[in-house]
Amino acid sequence: MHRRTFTLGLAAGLATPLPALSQSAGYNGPNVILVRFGGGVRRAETIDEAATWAPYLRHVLAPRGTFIPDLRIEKLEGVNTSHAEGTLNLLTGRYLAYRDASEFLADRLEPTEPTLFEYLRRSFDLASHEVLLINGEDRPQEEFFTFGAGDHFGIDFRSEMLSLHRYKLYRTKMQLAEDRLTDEARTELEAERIRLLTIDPRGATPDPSPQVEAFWARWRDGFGDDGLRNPRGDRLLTELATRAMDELKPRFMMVNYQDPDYVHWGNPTHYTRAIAIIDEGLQRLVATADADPFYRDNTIFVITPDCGRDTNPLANVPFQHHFNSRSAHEVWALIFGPGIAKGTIDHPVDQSAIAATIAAAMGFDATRAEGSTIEGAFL
Amino acid sequence: MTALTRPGFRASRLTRLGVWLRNATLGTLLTTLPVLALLSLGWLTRRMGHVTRARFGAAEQAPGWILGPHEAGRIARALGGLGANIRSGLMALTALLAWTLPFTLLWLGAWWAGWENSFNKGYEQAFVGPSVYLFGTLASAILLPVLPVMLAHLATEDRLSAAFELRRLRSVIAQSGWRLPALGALTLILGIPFVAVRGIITTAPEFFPGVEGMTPDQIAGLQGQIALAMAAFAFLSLWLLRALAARIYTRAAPRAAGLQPGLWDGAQAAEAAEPARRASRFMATLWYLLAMGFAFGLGTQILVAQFLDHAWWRWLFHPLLTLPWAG
Repeated sequence: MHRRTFTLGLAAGLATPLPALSQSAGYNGPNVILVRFGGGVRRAETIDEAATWAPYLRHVLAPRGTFIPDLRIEKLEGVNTSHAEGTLNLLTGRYLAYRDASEFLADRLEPTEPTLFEYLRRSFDLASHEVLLINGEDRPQEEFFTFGAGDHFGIDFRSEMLSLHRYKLYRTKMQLAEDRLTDEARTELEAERIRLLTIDPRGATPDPSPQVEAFWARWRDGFGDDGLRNPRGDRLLTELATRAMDELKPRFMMVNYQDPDYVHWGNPTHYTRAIAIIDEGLQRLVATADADPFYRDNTIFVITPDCGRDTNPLANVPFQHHFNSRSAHEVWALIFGPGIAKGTIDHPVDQSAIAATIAAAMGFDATRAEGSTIEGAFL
Repeated sequence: MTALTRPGFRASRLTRLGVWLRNATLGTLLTTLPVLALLSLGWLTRRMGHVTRARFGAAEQAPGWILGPHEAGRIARALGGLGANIRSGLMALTALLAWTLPFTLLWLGAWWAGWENSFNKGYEQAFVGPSVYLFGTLASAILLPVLPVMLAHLATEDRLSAAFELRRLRSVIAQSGWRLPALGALTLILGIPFVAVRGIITTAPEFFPGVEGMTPDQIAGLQGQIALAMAAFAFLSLWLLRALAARIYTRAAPRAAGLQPGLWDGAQAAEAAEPARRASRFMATLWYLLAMGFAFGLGTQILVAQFLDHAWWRWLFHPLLTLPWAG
């Protein structure tokens, strides 16, 4: 979709009364934190009891809820086992609910079906900062999952995004508003801002809400402008997520971990180390929830990978890629929190069931999702 | 090497086929392992020298794998070929590494910078990896076309220092004309299977799902078959490429020696020096640029293969460039 088409569509959408808005009600259900154990991980290194590199996940968290060791990405024509695809499967509850909006050297998918963010905010009167997507610093293609640009609920029901990309947008805006810049620095900063803005070719990235602006102001106070002091990689996501829990109190938050994917460079330790870092992140997320009355005993965690990885015994690094092999379709999930049963589901579950299950837990209907609620997950 | 009087007979076709098969089999088997591949490299280098010197008028016994010359002493006769292959292999490998490490080390460094950048999010130095890689690729494009001529000269002279006689090498390259880019094109084509096999191995679980369920013994058996097939391809490809390089050298070096007898004084090619016209500088540059283009293609093949299935040492050892071992 071109910028003009999108803008026209957006204007038309805004001019049309939205009956859904008038149906909104306050939200009293549980908070949900959806953790994408991302970058593609295999069962062998994550949930295998003996071989796991995520001991907290496997040995501490798994017994706390419904453990689904055999979650599967269905093998359908055109379904790829990659990160953006898997994330959108989780967020929409459907396969192939996206369109390719890639440009040269910049792969990008846009959801063509409503995401969980949109369903939730359409159903309940929640501010945008109460529905959050936490994204990594080097996957700008995943900045666009906050809403879909199709003929559905769209931008009015978007989530807010917390990522370094968004922080840089905030920082450049604030720096340009300050009058201590030299001409040269101002020109450079303007160029940086234009580059950041044009990463979203939809041309309609809405300004963050005042609460998110205040969040970035505090972030800037703490970590400054240079981008070198804040945690990096998946530790950054943990920092953003836990700060958001403290300061923004999201009711639904998705954390898009990603770093195990750097095993593409061919270093097995990139993969196992990144899994361990996500495991540490889970500890912090759960500890933050347990320490905060807003979240304690009122928060459901859903932890699941976006996709698996290959099991290639012929390759030097057997899990270097995720080329649609059987193993790349084999993932897992863990759901725990109030109202969630404890135990292991001993039959295969489809990945599209995750969205429906989250919808059921939060009390809204994901009408366009294909999957059904996971049987036995609720008490 | 041992000079002999020229034989007045030629072996029968059947005998030559048998010898070829023996050499191909032994070369293939030795090429399956990196240490033994040194012997293959040595034998190929000695064979190059044998071919070029024979063209320059010397008559000598063809290089053997283990046995030495007939007229040597008992031990030299029993193991002289093996010793000569080790010596030649070490000499060729040293020369090849000296010529290739300047860019393969840059590739290795670029890879290191890339993963460091990705994993530790050192985006402030994001330009380092790609810049170093491009610099290495440019260096490879400049240096790679020299390798066949350098090896032929080293093999002919049978001494390591020959690999660094830059003025002689340059004069041979100038006389090689279109043959050098043609050899580069053939090298590029013969490099394709090395990328393809990495691609097949990497995507095997998708296209041959049974691979994921194979037992360790079955995997080991399959890996052995792949290694053997790639060793055969590597050895036979190199045999062909080295033979063609020797041919180019035997044509170009005597002409270069005829043009600059002082420069070639004392060299084997001087024995067959022949009058020649000075090569057009424009055409020589053009042919070299074309050869550089094919060399750039080979560098790209290596990059693609590394992305598919990475191992750090593959930046340093490509079977068509250094050690004839497909890994």
